[in-house]
Amino acid sequence: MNFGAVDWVLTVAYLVASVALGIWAKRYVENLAGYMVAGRRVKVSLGVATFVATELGTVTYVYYGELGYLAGFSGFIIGILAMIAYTLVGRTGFVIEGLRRFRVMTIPEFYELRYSRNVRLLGGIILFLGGVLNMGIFLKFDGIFLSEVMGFGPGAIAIIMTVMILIVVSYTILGGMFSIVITDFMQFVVLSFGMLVATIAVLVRVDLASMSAVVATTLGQTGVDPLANPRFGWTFVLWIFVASAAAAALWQPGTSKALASESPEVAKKVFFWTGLTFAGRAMIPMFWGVAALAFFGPGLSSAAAMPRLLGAVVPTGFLGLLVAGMLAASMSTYSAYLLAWSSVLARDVIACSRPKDFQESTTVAVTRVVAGVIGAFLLIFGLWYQIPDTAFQYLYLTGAMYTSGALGVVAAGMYWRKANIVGAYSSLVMGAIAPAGFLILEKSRDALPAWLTFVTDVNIAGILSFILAGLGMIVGSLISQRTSPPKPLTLPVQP
Amino acid sequence: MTTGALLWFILFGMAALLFFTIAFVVTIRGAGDLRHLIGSSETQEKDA
Repeated sequence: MNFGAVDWVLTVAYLVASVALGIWAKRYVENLAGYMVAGRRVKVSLGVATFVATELGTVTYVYYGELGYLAGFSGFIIGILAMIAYTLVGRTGFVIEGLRRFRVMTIPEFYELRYSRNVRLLGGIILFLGGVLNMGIFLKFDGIFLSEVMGFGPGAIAIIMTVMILIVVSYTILGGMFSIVITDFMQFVVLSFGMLVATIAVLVRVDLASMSAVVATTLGQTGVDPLANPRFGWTFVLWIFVASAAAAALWQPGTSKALASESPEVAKKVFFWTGLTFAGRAMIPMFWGVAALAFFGPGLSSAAAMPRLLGAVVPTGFLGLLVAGMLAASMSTYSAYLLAWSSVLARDVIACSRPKDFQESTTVAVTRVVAGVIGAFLLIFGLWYQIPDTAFQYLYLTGAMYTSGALGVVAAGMYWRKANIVGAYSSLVMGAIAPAGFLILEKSRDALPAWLTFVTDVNIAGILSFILAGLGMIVGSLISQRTSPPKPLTLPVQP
Repeated sequence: MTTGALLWFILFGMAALLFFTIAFVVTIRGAGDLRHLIGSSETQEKDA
């Protein structure tokens, strides 16, 4: 165990600075737009920093590190697919440009503009459920990572989880998006430096030749060819590419960076430059995972191997920087996700269930209460839930519960005049069926009839959700044009 | 070293270089953007 007194000082100093900065930012929250989208005044570089920080949590390192340990270099394809998907969305402005022009604060708000208030309500419920389930495993993985790196072992996981969620909930509740943007910037700098330190330490202690050799002997061709690897294959490649493009455009925590941007043009640049970092975002932790395979050999717990490697190779002093970097990564992710899901529940579910919207101050108050409740739920869920398959696929599948339907509803609503309410309902419901089916049936795989076992293949369930959602929108809209004529977008477009 | 591994190492090197270069530029320029965000918020606060 290399975690010494200097590392403790660095870690505690970082935590205190984060909380102080987050709470200080509360003074800039002047209204609802200030709380939820930082007054729409975020420029390109700050937008990129906050976007990367949001999309890079400790959970990201753990699930990518796990894939590197289990699948060798084959998983690197995910980084390339994500980079292409995000830069394409940034270059074309697909969906994000339109959402920013309509000045919405949450994605389901667009459903009401284009379809109806009830579509917004259903979309809000699915987005909230998918989002919170998706976030449910973050805390547990962070607890595993930090307890391994710091040398405490599994006994400390629950304590680490509790401390982290308390800190993040406190400043997110108070300062909203302003706190997030300001703390994200500091967290981005710290996490980037932490990643650099870890990568150099791994390269110093584990040579490339031994990594190549262990992948060849342990995994053979499946360790370098993603199409030959049974974990991946063509269905996986196709699903991850479509899911990445959908998540780039429609995953509330990420899309909120476009909604907080100074203009639609700035939003596009933020997505393009952030997209370019996405290959490294995936490949760097996977590289650490492959190094863990070379360092320890196979047979360790796949989630704990990479953190244990970092705990062993990063020297005292730098380990504190690494832990601060990982804490930074997690806190920036939690805060953005907490705000995103609490905003959706407050504005798109609770407020939409009433005949009239809340006043701005009430919306902020309800959002704060909901953020606290989600924090408590995450702690309980993280301690209790056993994650199926690998974490990576769990995250993409719970995300697909919402993004598949949303892709149909928002993209068709923006670019297809015939999209109507029936198509929107069909798309949202059918998009959620396959992922929900997987999550429910996966544990009863052996009891299923043979013809239904395909649902328990995570890659098939993932790609199926997008196909069903697309079909739901097209067929639903076309068969009901007379009974439910499409509603045109009438809100005046503002810069 | 196998050819497949070598190819992935080259791609990894390019991806890591791109990540850390963008991180460096964003760190420098983002500090200016942050000052602008805080400055414009303080101006609005005074106007109000």
